[in-house]
Amino acid sequence: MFGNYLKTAVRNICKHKGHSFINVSGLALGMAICILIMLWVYDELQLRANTPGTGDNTNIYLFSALAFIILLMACINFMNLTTARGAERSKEVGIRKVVGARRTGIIKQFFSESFLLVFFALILSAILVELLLPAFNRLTGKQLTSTWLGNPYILPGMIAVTLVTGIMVGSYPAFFLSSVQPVKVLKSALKPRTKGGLLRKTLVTFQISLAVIFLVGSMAIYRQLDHIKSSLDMFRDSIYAAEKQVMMIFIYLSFLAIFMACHGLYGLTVFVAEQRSQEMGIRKVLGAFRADVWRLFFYQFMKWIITANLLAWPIAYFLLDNLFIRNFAYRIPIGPWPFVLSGILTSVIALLTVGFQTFKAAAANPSDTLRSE
Amino acid sequence: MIETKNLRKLYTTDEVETTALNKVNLKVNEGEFVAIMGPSGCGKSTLLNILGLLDNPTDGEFYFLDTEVSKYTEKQRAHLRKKNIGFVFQSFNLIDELTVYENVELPLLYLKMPASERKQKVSHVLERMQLIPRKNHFPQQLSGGQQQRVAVARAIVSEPKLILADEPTGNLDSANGEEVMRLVTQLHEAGTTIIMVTHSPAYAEFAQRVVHLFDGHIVTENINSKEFHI
Ligand SMILES: Nc1ncnc2c1ncn2[C@@H]1O[C@H](COP(=O)(O)OP(=O)(O)O)[C@@H](O)[C@H]1O
Ligand SMILES: [Mg+2]
Repeated sequence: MFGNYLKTAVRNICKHKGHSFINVSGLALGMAICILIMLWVYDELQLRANTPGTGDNTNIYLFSALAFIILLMACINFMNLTTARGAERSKEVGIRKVVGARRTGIIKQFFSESFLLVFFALILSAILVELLLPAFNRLTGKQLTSTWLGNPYILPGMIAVTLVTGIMVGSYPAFFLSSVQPVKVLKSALKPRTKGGLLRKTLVTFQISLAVIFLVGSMAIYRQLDHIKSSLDMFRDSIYAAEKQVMMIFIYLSFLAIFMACHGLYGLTVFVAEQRSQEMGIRKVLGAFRADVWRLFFYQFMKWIITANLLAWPIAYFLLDNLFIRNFAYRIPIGPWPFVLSGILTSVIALLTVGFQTFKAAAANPSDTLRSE
Repeated sequence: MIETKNLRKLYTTDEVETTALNKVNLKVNEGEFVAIMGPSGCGKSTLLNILGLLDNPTDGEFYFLDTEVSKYTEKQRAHLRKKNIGFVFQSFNLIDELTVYENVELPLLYLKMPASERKQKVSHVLERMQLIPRKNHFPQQLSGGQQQRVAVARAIVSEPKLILADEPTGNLDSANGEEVMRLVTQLHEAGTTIIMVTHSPAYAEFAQRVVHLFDGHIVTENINSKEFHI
């Protein structure tokens, strides 16, 4: 039976190569960042054990929380992309139940499949950790290594991350899909409509907002640095170095946030394309052209990108305003450009992410999406 | 084998209530071949799904192998289903990611049958359905007629007592449709109980008895003259 699960899993992965690749790499990035932060926390804890008196653990808690949040977001993105194609998989579940599968069997199947993907993500994340470690060391001023000899906790740590991730990403698809009723999905070839999705949309909007905040931050600090450079002052050097450090952190966080937002956005596109496929088929029968259909998707996604920007701008302004008060002497107004540029950049990246998938959805023949019994 | 008393099925969606089945009394004996006919939407599939333990009735009694099962949980139904019932659908319903061989093997895997016995049964049924040359193909690589043969092979591989077929010829041309009917007749002759929904009066002739449904209830039951004379 297990062999049968793996066969279906591997063939599903191969059938949707691009999709699986995006999903595995998104998860791998989350896991890699989590492992990096764990290395840092481990190092800090050792440092504190060796030098008594350095009692403040705020940063440790903060970064541990950050690691968990990043991993959680990567997991949610992964689950959203997995369940976006739920209609397709639910037919398979329906058939399996008709020929004798019990709910527990279906749950086992989807957990095996999730763990297989998480295992691929783990391998990829180990490579990512190696690649990111030099930059991470430069940023944190540490000499962390990821060798198993250098850190006895890395192996159990990675196993723990894998288990937590596997359980998190496996549970929702497993319980969601195993509850499918055969009579509902096998009644006709018409896909069941996946309702709602408000949570998915809110989450992706939130992720784009985060990306905008970090982008605005990076650009604003860059301008600030430019300004400091042109003034001559005895405090200049130390402030310059500190600001540069903050900017580097913001740039890295921007990249991370953009990658995560793209992963989430891709999952949302797949979901929306699936959800609206029947509607699009009907529109086409009634005379809509491909471009009309594409425009509908475009408006829908632009709406979220604009919402995300409008939410992010005041928050970014408030945070930066407070950050710069520390360096009052060199303070310059943030100005509109970081906001405008971040808006344009996120729009372009977002539309590139959703473009291909929506193009495919717009190009589908109505007969494919409207086939009933 | 099957008996229903005042079987009723209501579907409630948002604010609309549909009575899909109303006061259905039906008895099917072991070894019988019954056809169900009626216009679209009259409740044929609903009835077949309940008889096949894929769904529960809203009320009424349902005896399957002399046990009242109308209140069974999904777990209990799944248990009865996999031991006793094979299904054939209009839209084939094969798993696209599994080969012909793997699709047919699936019911036996869920029955936890040992590998050697499984292999022997699958090979035997594939041979009988003339599917050996196709056994490593995926469903999408087959014609409709071949796909339905695979579906029939999957339905009978575990040698169930009852076969339920919901318009099994509905998506096939006449040559393939007749081929499927020939297979169904063979199964009946070998002693399997068969309940088949069909739109075609000609195919209904193959059955011993035809039940006509209209708006969720049985209007007439005819014994086919052909069988009558035997
Ligand atoms: N899941 C469901 N939810 C709501 N109504 C349903 C559902 N399934 C079937 N129906 C309704 O029940 C009636 C009988 O349907 P069905 O048994 O599929 O008819 P048939 O197979 O004879 O064409 C129809 O009016 C149909 O719209
Ligand atoms: Mg029907």
